[in-house]
Amino acid sequence: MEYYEEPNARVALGLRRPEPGDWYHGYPEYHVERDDDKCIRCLVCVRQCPYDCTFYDPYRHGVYNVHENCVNCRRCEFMCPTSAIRMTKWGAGFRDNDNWKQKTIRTVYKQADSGAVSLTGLGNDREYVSYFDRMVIDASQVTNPSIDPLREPMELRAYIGKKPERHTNPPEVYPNLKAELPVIFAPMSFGAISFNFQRGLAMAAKEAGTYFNTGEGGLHPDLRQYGDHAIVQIASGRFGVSLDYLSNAAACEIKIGQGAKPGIGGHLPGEKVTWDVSRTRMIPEGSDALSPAPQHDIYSIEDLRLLIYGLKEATEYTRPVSVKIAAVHNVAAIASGIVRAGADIVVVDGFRGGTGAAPAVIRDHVGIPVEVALAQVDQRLREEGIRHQASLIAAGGIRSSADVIKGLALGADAFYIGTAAMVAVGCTACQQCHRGRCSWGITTNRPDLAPRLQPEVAAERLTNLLHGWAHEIKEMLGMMGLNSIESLRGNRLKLRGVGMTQVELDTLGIQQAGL
Amino acid sequence: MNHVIIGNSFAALFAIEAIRRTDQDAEITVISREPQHVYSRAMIHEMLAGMVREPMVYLRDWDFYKRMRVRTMLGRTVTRINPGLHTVSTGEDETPYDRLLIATGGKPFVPPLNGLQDVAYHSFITLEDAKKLKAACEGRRNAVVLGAGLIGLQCAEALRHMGLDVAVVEMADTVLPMALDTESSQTIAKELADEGIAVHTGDTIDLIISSDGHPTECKLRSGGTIPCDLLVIAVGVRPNIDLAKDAGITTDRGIVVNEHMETSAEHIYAAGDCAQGPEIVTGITMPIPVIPVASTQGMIAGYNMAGKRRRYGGALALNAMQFGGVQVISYGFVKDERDGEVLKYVDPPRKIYRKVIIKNGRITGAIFVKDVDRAGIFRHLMEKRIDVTPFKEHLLSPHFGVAHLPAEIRADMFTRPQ
Amino acid sequence: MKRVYPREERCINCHLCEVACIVEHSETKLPSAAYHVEGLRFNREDSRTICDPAEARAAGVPKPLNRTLVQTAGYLSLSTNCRHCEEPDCVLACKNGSLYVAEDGRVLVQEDKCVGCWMCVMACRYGAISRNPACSNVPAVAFNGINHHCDLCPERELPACVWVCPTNALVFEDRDDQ
Repeated sequence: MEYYEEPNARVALGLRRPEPGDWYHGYPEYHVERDDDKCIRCLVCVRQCPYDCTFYDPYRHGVYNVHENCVNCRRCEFMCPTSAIRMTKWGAGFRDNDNWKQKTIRTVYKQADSGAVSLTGLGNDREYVSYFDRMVIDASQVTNPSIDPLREPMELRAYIGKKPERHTNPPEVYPNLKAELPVIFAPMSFGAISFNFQRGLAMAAKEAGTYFNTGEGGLHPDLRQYGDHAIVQIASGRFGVSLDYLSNAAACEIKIGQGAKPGIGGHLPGEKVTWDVSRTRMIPEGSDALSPAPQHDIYSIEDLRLLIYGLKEATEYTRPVSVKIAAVHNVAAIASGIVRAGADIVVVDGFRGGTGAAPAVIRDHVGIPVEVALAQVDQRLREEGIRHQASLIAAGGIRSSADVIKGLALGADAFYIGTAAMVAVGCTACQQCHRGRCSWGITTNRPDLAPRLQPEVAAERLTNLLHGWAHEIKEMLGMMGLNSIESLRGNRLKLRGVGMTQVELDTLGIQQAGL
Repeated sequence: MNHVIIGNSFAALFAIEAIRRTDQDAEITVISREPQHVYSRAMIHEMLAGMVREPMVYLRDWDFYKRMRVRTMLGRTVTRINPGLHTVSTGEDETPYDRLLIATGGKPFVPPLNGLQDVAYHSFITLEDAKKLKAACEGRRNAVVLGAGLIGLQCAEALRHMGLDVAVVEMADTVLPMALDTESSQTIAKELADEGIAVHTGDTIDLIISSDGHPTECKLRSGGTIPCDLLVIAVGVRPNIDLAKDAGITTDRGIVVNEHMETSAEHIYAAGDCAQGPEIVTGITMPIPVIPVASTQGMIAGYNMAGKRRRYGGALALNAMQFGGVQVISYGFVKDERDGEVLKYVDPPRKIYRKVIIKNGRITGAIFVKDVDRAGIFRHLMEKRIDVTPFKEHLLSPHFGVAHLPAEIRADMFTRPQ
Repeated sequence: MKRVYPREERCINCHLCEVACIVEHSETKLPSAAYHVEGLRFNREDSRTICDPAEARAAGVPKPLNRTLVQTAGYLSLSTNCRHCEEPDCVLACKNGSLYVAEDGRVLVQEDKCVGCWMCVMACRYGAISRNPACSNVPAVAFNGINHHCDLCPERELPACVWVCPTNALVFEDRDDQ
């Protein structure tokens, strides 16, 4: 079978010789523990492991592992029919050191081995503060009765786009997205994710009455039928952009930046550019798809205005135009400029946002949390009297309906979920997306791996997730005595902070719990 | 409708089932020279050797004829077919028919050998032959089997299993000259030798020396003399066409039939070892005396007799056999390599041999020794005359399977009911 | 009549169908017993397999024999099993009538009658028949065994392979009207 080969993989039954050029693999991180008694040598795990970690030894009639290749994706555990496999950490690891942690040491080894930029996938996994986890939500008590969501209708629908300046007759109406709940699937490009997953997202978006975002990979011809639920992206690489692409969509999004890697462009390693991906993106098969860092025709805010209106003209002012930026310093000022440049939607992507591939050092150290970014942007736009001119979508590590409620209270109109959507369909957050070997068929288009995720299954699970969250949001709204997300939007009084400094509380615009 | 079938083996059996499936009211009569319940001639060697109990030899349950409402005239010989009168004669009696199936199978060919007229010798075709041979083995030591075809070798192996010393004499240079090619027959010859059977190829019996009506020695053309107190003649089987010939029905080597199994006489059909129809690889008509061909022809004949027009697509020579623990399956013409591309895989220590002959993109012959799993897929490729050029390099792989076929063919096989 | 039909675009080559088949057809229906203890049915994974089960037995490497087989070529895989044909090639080739069509349409073998002549292996154009050395009705022969093919799990409503497949690549349905 032709498989793409990982250059440093060591698949051997034979002698193990520590090599000078391979310190990273010299110390396995995980140990694949197999209960030999339960193992029936069915070899399902051998066939399922895409990381060259599991093999069958015919001489010992047993299944063995190259533990240094294990990435803890847990696919073998999941598939084993007798539950004979368990992943554990490999022994004591390096000596305990809060400054030189396991990961820190391993990263230096990896770089010393390769001399290359260390790539990774998914979102920032470091121990930065999560402001979502330090905010708590109000509830109704005696003087402000709660509403029973089973008896009263709860309005979760979000209209996303420009709103009129004042009441007029007839009313000024601008093109808006209409989402039945304020959760939209985040931009994930075809190439970074599998076709089956993108199809699942499209189907679930249609079923739940919300949207999905094509990311910068273009819209696959077989998904055109979902165009009225698609937000299409115009990123710096301009992959797949054509008039047809724009007109077939519900909204267009200019991608300036991304929370996981602010300031640099998208990255799709060549291993992930299969024939279908190459056709959709209009690039050669197998070539790295590196989007340039800036959009080379946007060097000032005036240029951005040109592009925004260019898109509006091209779509005859029938589609909202969105601009997506990463949450960085001065994000409020940037957002203000974007709104004044004519954007109907501003998407702020925090540093917990996921990615298919990014340099680890940028993913983990650049950008700011979406909570503070959101609060500041909302605050600034209100102060400048332009809050109505654009809707605000928050992205970057939205993990639950509680995060949605807190985000709404901070000022967002809607949210993008990326990682949460992947986890819903089976992702185990092993952070190997960039290698194109996703064991779950989510972030790879390799023909032997992609069928592992079936679109109907993905769509059902995603729809379930959205239904669950919608129900929880309704419960929480009712609990607060509100019956519409409109009443919650920007309503900072519904939040209190715990364990934050005064400066943090002020930045978020909320009060200390107890007050 | 009154159906009469002459014969009581595979072709007759499947004809009966086909007729009964189509027409619940039809009358079916079976007339057979042999008195037994429908049995398999291919099983008699195992029964001879005592490897199986006698019930294993019968093809259907004891109540088969009753269930199928078939009138049987077993142990009766048909002496004449009267096509004009639509009757068959069995001695004094006349049996009328609306449709007649001739399924008389084959009869052994006995060559004129010096001294043969003076001795008691054995054929090895019918159950009766096997029982007689078994009785004759009592007290005998040295068996000689003339003919190393499938029947001869199976008989030889059975006799060896019973403890006799066995020698096989074959005129061709190799054993199983019709079914196997040189390499595979060498493997089989070795298996036989390991079992203690002496094989004399490229030879024949010049003289049979006897005493008191029983053979004592055989003088071989090559010069030697081998002891012999039991002689089996298994040189070949000829289609049993006498009845048809006498009735004026067109015959060649076998009874000539068209794709509906119809003979040249109205309402008379023929099927099985006695018939000859077109062969798939060459298109030439020839008798192909193997069980699957007989069964299918019988079934098709039965349907046509009962009024359902079915066409027979043509016969493919197929063989499955086993000697000394080595299985062999072959299809088509495995020796004719002229103008063909020959793919071969040989693994001598494991006795594995796989050969495919391709002409004009189509497989004309294939042979599998020891590694026979899923060989039947080749049957499909040959019968449907599929162009194997796109996947030819995978044909010899032990993992060759339906996944290597073009998608449309596979879809046809696996996504529709068969 | 309902049969098992593969959908090759969904197959992920995991072979859980084979595992389920083996467990279902075991005495105890327990995986460990089916594979380690009961297994006298052989099928080794390495290429150029030890084709001769007697040899495999002697090598002491038991692994039970599945009735459904995942056939692969490159990235393509699908689980294949007996088609339970209406006019089965195997029944027409069976040397002593041990293969038969049951009343419900399934093609079955009388396990105490089959003599392991392999005419059915020769005849089956789908390659659906394997050789099972656990049973032999002609023990005198060095290699033997009996016909082994899918029986559509008579003790279950849904065949085990269909039930276990993680991507629903196997369906159990009646397509006779097509």
